[in-house]
Amino acid sequence: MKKIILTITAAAFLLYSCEDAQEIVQPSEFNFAAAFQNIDDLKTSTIAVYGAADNQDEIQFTSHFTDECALGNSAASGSAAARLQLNVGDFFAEEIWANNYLTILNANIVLLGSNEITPADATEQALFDESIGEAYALRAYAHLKLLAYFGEDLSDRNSAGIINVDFVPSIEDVLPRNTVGESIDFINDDLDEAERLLTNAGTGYSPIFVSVDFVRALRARANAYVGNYGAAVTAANNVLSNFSLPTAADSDSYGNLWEDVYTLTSTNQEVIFRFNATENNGNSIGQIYNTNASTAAGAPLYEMSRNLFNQLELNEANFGDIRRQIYIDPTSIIAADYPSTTDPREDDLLVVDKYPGDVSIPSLVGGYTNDQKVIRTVEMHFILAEAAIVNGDLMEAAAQIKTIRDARYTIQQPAPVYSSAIDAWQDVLAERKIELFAEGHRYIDIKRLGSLANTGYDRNETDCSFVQGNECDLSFSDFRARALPIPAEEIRANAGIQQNPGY
Amino acid sequence: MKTKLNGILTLLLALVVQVAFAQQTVTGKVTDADGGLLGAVVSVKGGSANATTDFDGNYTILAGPEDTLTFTYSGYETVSLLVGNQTVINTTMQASLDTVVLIGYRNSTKPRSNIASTTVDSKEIVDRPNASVIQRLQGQVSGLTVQTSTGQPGANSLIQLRGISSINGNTEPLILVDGVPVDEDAFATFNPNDVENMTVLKDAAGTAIYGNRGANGVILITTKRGEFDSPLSVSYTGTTSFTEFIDTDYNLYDSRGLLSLENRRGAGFGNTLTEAEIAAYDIQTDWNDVFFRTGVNQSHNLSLSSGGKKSRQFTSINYTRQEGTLLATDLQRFNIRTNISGKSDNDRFTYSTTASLGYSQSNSQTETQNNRNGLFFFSSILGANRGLPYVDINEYSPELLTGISAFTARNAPFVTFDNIQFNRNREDELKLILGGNFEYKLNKDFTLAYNMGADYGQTVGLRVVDPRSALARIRASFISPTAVEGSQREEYLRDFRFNSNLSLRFKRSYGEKDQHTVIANGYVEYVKGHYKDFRYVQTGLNPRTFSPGNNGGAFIGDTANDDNNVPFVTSNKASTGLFSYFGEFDYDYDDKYGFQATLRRDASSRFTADNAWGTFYSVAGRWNLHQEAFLSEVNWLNTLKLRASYGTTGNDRINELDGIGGYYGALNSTRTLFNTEQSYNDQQTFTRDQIGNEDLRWETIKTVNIGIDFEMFDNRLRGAIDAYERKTEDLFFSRSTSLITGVSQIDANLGDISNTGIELTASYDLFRANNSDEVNLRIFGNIAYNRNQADFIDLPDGLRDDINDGTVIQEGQRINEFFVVPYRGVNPATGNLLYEDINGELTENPTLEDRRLTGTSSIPDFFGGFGFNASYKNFFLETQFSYMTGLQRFDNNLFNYLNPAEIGQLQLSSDLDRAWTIDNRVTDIPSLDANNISPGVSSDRFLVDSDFLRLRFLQIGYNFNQEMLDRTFLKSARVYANGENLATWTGWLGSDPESSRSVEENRFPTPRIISVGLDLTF
Repeated sequence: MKKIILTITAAAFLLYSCEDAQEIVQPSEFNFAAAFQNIDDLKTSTIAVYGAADNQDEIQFTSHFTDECALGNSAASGSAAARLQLNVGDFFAEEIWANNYLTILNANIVLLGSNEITPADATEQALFDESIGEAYALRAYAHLKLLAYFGEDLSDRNSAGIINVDFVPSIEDVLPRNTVGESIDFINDDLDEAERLLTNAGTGYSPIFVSVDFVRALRARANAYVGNYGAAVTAANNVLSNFSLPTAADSDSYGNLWEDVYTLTSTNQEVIFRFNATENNGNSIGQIYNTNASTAAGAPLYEMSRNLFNQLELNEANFGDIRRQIYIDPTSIIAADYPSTTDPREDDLLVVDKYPGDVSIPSLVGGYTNDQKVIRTVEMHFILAEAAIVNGDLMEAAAQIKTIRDARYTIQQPAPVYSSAIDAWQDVLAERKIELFAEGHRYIDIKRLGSLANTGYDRNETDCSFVQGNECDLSFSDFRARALPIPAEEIRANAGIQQNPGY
Repeated sequence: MKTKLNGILTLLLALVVQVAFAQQTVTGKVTDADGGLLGAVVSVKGGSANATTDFDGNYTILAGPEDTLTFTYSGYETVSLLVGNQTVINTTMQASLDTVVLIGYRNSTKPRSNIASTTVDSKEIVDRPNASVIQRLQGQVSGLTVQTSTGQPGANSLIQLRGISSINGNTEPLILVDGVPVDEDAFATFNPNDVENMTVLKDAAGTAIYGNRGANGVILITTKRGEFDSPLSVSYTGTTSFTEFIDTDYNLYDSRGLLSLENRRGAGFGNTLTEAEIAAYDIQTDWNDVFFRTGVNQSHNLSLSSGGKKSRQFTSINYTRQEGTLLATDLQRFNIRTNISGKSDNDRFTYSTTASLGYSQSNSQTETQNNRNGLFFFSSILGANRGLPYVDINEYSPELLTGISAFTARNAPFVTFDNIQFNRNREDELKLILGGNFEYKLNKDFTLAYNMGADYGQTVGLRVVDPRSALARIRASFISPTAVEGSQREEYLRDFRFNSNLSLRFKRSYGEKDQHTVIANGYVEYVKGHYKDFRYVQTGLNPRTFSPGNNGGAFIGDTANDDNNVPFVTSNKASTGLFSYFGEFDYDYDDKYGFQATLRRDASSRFTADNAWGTFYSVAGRWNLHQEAFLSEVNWLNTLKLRASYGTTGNDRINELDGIGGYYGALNSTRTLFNTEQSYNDQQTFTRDQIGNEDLRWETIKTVNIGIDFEMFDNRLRGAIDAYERKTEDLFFSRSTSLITGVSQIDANLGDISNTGIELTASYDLFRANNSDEVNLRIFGNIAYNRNQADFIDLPDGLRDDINDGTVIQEGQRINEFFVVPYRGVNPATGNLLYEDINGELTENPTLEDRRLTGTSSIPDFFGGFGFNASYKNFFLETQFSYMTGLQRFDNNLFNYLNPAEIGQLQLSSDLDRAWTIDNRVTDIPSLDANNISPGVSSDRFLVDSDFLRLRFLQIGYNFNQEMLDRTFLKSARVYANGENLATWTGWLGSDPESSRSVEENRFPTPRIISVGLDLTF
């Protein structure tokens, strides 16, 4: 009897415990099927695409690597990129590659999720179209950033581009690079699809969400990058029919723009699209340049390069360029005779103030948080200027540059006179370097326009003395200025992928 | 009446006379092969008097000349001796053939054990000053390394047996306390004085029965129990010790030296002084003295043990307080334990329970961890290492640190010093380990046994940035000039692990002389773990009422117009489980030959149903050669046993870093899951959180082990040799994925690694004392060689290149072998650094292609320990050394001290005075203007040998004479002094070559501890 009882106890124990210990679902497990239930879920899923898409790594890399910045007094010996050391293990190459493919993944998840949902009525159809339109647009945006940094030669459709991804990959998927031509076509197709869907949906303009204007501006930029200026001009003019630069320099409005104080109507704000940064979400862009705040005491990490500052000083003195006061913080320590200062790193501090913080965001965070301006009106004029040079119309190019300068110079100047295309390219590059400072353009600009302008990175000797290493300037033809390396993290899984020349 | 009274008086008188005449004090020493035996019971046969031996085996008892003394000790043959006219009776007890050795879920005897194991008994564990029982094992068990990477008292250590068996998975052994599996990382609250012995099971014969959890070996901790039929014995142990910082050898600058360097380089404070001012400069601060101290520690332990006919008990209480060398680090601990065992009148039912409660409070500076070791204003170790010697700590005042301009590199040590004054980081742990074992003999052959155990840990963490501290004030100043900030984080963690094991056991001997013995046992086991945590962070504390860990109105609420004081709240839970059934079979022939087999099936909740079950087995055999007739003539040989085993064990702890981590890491890695979160524009969304890998399956470790146990020369020489190969298949490793998948790697089973090694452990009784006037000297040592290798790595070229760590995992090579460019010195022409390119040419600009394998990793080749124990008259001396060779680590402290970029900001090494100049071209220090100090690829310039030999433990002590004690209430007493890490011989320049980190930079080093103690038995 005793044995029987024990046996039963044992058997019961065995049966009970088996399942309880072996099949455990952790709390809060949430899968794809549960995630995509209705049209609101689809709209919700697009937020994740924005969440991954920002431009922080690109801006930071550009400021470290190119000649727009120099080491601040709190950056110690700086990043490897700041020492011009680029190899397959580079932090920024990995981040830019990884984060853009993450954006693309999130966009593809939206598109995959859309298969689960059938809109019930016209309202739902509009929301449906808008959601996947946003996904297409941001997918194109991420592909374009990848192409710009990793494409072997943007002017050669047959050179190595990037991996175009229009599906949710499985862990087995390993793909070769498409050509530049295939990549740009892919981007244009996505932009066309986005414009069609957003137009169908009747999506209104918002500077912080994807709009038809953003899609068009992106199309202008994408086609300009690859030298396809016909399409670029059409798109740029479409955008400029809705957006315009001020005809006279207005220091207050331009300063407000960088402080995220938006008083003008949205289409006059000079920003076509920006990533909205809040206290809790979005990257702290100011911390690329300063540890605590954009002041001399805020522990500057990367300051404005001396050469760029010298140019701005000159512009201010001669033309009343408003950007000098806006881009540089008033607490900056400016040494008149910086080359002979014993310690220029401490005694000549050019504090970047283009991201001065957003006063509407409380606490410390507000001091280094600003929206990331992705595409501004001014870029359309630059694209038109570039297109004009390509078309041999140097007068038109000069007119576009004048339009830009009129918006910045309080003492307006006549249009510049270009004696040659190279002269024009140099002026365009120089103006882009000032106007688009700290917005993640300089690397791409030298990559695509450097040879046309015969211009590379031109650093001030004093800036170079902060950096360990014997390189100061870098030619536009150096492999490091041509493209980033396909990162080691990708090669580990994708051994056959074509590496860029030089790495 | 008178007669009657007289009769009684006579009787009484007779008794008194007899007592007065016959009873004499007998003293003596009870020893075994290892020396004095603690806790042996000495009793007068047929009488009521008895005594127990003290720590060194000494006893005192009253007995008459006709009395017979009986010496009993569990596991030893009982000795009976007639007292006669002796007043000193020493005896050496022989281990009984039936000595119980713990070999897993059951006990066996020494000759019948088939497994490779090492037992460390309480002597080698108690009386040591280290607060962690696990750390006390370092160097004592061949093949086992216990590396501690922080000087925080009671901190967790990395325990590795026979090398690393996994890359992502768990590599630490399973630890059981009295049969209860416990968290291997939480020993801060465990009382080392309770330990009776610790047995380390090494080969598959020992570990396969633990199946899923035995892959990295098993450590069985047995705590003390009373003896049946023994009187109450009360022991007190008290120690006081001192913890000291171990100095470094970086050859740092003094004030004048550093100022003069700064002056020459036009940087920093030195640049503002004239040469004459520098020569007269007389402030000299040693920042190590500012941040480190001599910690004062105390420990008091009281234990009571006793036993009746059917039950026995052991009870102990302990209080320990230990201060770390770093300011504001300490550990306080209180423990209570009760172990009870008993049996029924007919001896068929036996039970034993264990219950221990521990509560500890530990203060630490977390800034030395969590990768904040490089942060100026947070890491006080950085302050201690790099503070400028010409800055006076007396300059510090809270007021000085006002305004952002005060936050300079120069003042950074003031900020960290200020942190120590105001801020705190405390962890309170409550630990409950409960276990019960119940056995019922169903009949002669069958026993039904049930064992259950629970390990309950509850941790309360408190981290405070006081609103008055400099860091809180500076943060507040960014909000507004009048704002106050400060923050408090409290977290509650609960971890409950439950284990239940039911078994039916069969044992029968048969044959003419019972020479055949068969054991067959079947088990069902159920394991479950539940984790829960909760934490909040409150920012905004009113300094007038704030007290750490309390609101009391001090929490400043958030206001509508800003979000300065929004509290952060989170909570998590997780559970994991295992279900197993297993059996073992053991056959013995006449103590000569033996064979055993185990088979175990485990189901883990971490895998899909298809892969949940893992089957593990082992076979083992032994041959006790000394029992053979052909060796019976060889008198010097006492024991010679050949062992061989082969078996498999499994690991289901896929990734120790995933999710909550450790025991609760990677619980649902087979499933693709999404996560809801707040994202862009503060809107809700969901993102894919992980890609599931449905193919995940058990990591399997196959171990083959061949060993010899030997005892010879009258048991004077004892030891064991083991050779093994452990092959890990279906290795838990990260599979790299193309980044188009959104992730760079996922948990997978990918590749094979192996560990091959040989271990020798031996001890020799050089002199055996027969009485206390002779010298007793025993020497002992162990050495292990282990070589790990990646056999197969399922990656392109069989290689994973961790470029930024300077290591690779490559087929045919050591795991995480260093992969660096060789540094070849200073270019006499330029003062730049010269490296060797892949073609053997010197270059100033090395590339990734110039890297090569070094043949070394941060894992040692050879390691072990040795020492001796001696006693003479009443004195005793014990030493233990530990060593490791063949390992290298990056010394980033050295890099920092030689970094010219930090001139004017931080302390440096005066080796920089030898830097290359045009007039000093042949030197080992590059020019201060060298442009390739950081060449963009890892070089071996700061990859330093971390081999060491350390005097791990030294003890010297004195036993008080019995005659002296007879006049007191004490049974025994001894005093001693000892030290841990008294001396270290190493080429490593920092404090601590023993850390397990492959890169060392601004860490809290393990200390030297010196202590004095007193043991008393009543």
